[in-house]
Amino acid sequence: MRQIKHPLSPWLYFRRNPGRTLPVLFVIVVAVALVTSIATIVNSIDQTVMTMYGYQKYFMVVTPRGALTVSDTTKQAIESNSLTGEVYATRPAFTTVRTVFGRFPTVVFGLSNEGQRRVMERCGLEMVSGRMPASGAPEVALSVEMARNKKLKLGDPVLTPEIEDSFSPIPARLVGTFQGPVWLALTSEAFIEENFPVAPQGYIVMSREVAQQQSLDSSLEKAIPEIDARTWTYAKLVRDTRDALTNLYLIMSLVIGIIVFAIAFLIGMLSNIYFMQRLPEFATLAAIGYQRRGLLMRALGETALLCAIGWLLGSLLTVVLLVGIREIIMEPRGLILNPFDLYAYRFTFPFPIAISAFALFAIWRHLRRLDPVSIIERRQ
Amino acid sequence: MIPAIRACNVSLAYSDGDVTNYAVRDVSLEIPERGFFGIMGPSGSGKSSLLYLLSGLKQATAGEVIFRNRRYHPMSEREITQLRRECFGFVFQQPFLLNYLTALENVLAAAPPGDSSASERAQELLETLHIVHLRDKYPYHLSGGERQRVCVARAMINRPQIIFADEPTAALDHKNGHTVIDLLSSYRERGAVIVVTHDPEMLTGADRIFLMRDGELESVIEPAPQTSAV
Ligand SMILES: Nc1ncnc2c1ncn2[C@@H]1O[C@H](COP(=O)(O)OP(=O)(O)OP(=O)(O)O)[C@@H](O)[C@H]1O
Ligand SMILES: [Mg+2]
Repeated sequence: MRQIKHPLSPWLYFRRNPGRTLPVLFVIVVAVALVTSIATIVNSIDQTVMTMYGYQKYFMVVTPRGALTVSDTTKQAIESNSLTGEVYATRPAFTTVRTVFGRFPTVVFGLSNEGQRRVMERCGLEMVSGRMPASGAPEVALSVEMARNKKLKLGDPVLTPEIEDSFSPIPARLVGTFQGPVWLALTSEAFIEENFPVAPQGYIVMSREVAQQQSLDSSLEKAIPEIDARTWTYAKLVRDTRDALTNLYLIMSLVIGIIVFAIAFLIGMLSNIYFMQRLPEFATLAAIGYQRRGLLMRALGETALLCAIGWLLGSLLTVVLLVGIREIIMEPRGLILNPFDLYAYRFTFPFPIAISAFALFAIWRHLRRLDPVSIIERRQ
Repeated sequence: MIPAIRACNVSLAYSDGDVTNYAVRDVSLEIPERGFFGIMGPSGSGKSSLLYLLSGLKQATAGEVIFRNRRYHPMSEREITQLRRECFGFVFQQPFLLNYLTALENVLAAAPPGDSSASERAQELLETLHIVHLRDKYPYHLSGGERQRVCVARAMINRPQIIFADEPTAALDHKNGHTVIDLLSSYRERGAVIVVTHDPEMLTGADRIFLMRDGELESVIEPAPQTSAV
């Protein structure tokens, strides 16, 4: 005869009582999907910033303050640092990138041909189409993602006199696109020098080895007088982004906390109702010799199983949902979203814990005072 | 012969403010190891209460109950619960079954997890009780009599030393009632069966009948000597 699993197993209860388990499962799945989606979308700001300005991992930028060129003191500090490798003069133009949260400004680096080539190499960017901007010409090359984000094809103007946040006195057109781990926008320094008389000249400073960039960054941050020049480093980017997002994350955590509480409370109430309906069942088991603790563990096992299945299905649903959103809405518009953002799933961990705790509390209240005789004697 | 259960001046009192009502008052009795025993009496005379005291489902307010040299009184709730699980079987007036489990699974629900021979025994029990064809049916597809027979099988699955049955036939018609009583009394060779009932007819074959009145044990009847020695 085939060996049967013990009939009181949570799995059997789950399968045989769809009227009770499926509604709860549905609530958990929806809640997990909701929370993960919120967290993923909020966290995509961070991801966007880190991708858009991620080039700072590969070099630092030094710009003058209150002057059009970097002071000699600053130049001295850069040159004398033992970690300093290549240094390229650069002048900036500005444009914007669309994000879920509005337009973010980004720099179009004006560089010499040599500078362009080296910066691309350094960042691991490879040409996809077209060519690099020629010296002095009104031309721009962009990461393909940026071009897609700005809906630009080769030949379209990137900087124009009409668009305030992508201004240039004469239109500069897209002549090439490249692709790699970070986004970048390049033009020629000579073009900016001729057309943007007040654009200051700064420096792109690379360490000898990519791995040393962080050390060079912090060492130069200390060595360069604040009053002379401003330093733009990856560490600062991360710090500033996290600072800016603190409140947002706080609000999100609060909202998620409320959702978790509400759902756990709801399911606790449901457990309460279900338990009342199943009182004769628990009373009978208690009468024939099941320990209270065992019965509690059984109820907890049933809840835990529900949470586990709900969490898995919820996560699966979220991934499917977010991949869909990314493929259909985000990526065609050059917007960043990571459906596999593990950070977002962390926010769902309180669910199983809170739900189990609430359900446990609801059931324990009854089980503690359960007198099997009073239920068995109750004549329906 | 050592009795399976002994009650010594046992009482169960309910106090309601300063009025004390005795459901069971000063009852002493002995239940031998094997046999078929009845508890009879009018409604409210304390039959169920006595059964709950003997089976450890209620704690006596005075006197003591002893199961094979083990006194209930100093035992923890945990120990008494375990005793019920291992040594006792129960049949109640209402055939309480788990609705989402089949007849066979309901019987197995009483067996300890990991008892590998339980399903074989359950199968045999269902055969003996003539309900093996219903083994995969759910309780809501069974008649009252069939459900009560599943309860009897559940009471027997752990091969208990004592089966306690509180009005097991009250919810059944005459024929089904007799079937259930016959099945219960057939266990007398293996252990003690204690049945509470209103109906004297159900106890025709009993080895001993305890008559209750107003919470007290009025008399003990021992019908004409049967095969089993008392
Ligand atoms: N929980 C309780 N609180 C107060 N009094 C109780 C309680 N349970 C039982 N009683 C009283 O104890 C007495 C005996 O009850 P018990 O249920 O043992 O009688 P019974 O002989 O089984 O009756 P029946 O044949 O109707 O089942 C009754 O007077 C009843 O009202
Ligand atoms: Mg009764």
